[in-house]
Amino acid sequence: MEAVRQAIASLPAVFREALVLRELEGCSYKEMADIAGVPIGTVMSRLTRARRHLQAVLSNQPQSGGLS
Amino acid sequence: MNCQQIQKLIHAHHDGELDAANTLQVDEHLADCPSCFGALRQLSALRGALQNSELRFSAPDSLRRSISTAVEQAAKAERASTSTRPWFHYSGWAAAAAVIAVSFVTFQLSSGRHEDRLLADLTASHVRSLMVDHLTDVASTDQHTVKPWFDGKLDFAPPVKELREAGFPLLGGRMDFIEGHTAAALVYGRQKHFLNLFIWPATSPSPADPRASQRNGYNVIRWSDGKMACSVVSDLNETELREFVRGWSAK
Repeated sequence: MEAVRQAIASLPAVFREALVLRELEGCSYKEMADIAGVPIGTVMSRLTRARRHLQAVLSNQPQSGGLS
Repeated sequence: MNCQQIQKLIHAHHDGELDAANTLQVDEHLADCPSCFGALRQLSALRGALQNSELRFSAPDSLRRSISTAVEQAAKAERASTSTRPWFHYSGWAAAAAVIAVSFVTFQLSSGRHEDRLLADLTASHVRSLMVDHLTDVASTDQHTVKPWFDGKLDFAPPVKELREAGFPLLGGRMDFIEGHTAAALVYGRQKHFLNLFIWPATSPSPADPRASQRNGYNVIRWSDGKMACSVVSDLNETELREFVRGWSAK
């Protein structure tokens, strides 16, 4: 579980926010967009990138694209 | 849809945020594609790993108690200060006025929330239609092709107008859902911009003048002719969007 916690902590804030709001708080895309003050498209892309990053970190794979 | 398109949609599918038509297409693809199905399973596995309760922090009970106590004390203080006002005790009219005022504010708040939800729904549908490459179910610039397409799909016949002369060519139409009911979405173009015009039966027989709002950078204009409620959403500026509404209403 520590590995998951560290992987989440390693995400840049905006990606961590998207992941936590969706996976831990169960927010809808619309609620996330309202909270973060960004369009739904941005929410979707942040969530996708956050998950890919997390999957890569947890499986110890090199990442194809950075999060910056 | 090919695998590349599915990969773009699979997160929204996994989150239950795709519209019905796209969900159906993704499901069909997943049934025949082990690779995309594997990607979906990986998303489920990740979600499983994140469901562990050790990742969640709950506020301690003492914090809940201290907040409840503070709220109760504030309410008591409020009641005490209100009861010292003589007009409240002796004037029935004042009390009645207060009740009416509160009802009015409550009504305003609730209609404001409804308005907010509707705007959010309209812009979300507009964004989804552009994002998932599902702008139109019927792609045609001919109103006599688009209008009959809705027959049997909706329990009302939406007006379909060609506005090419006004600078807004009709591009097609599709079914959509706004606030839980079916709506016709007509798609118009303006140079490189897209406009989604959502139409559904009006709930009030009184016509409503066009009213402009903004949501997440998108302009929305809503109006009603007493028969159909119309809402047009676009990233176009308000002036051009009003031009569209004038063109539509003049037809």
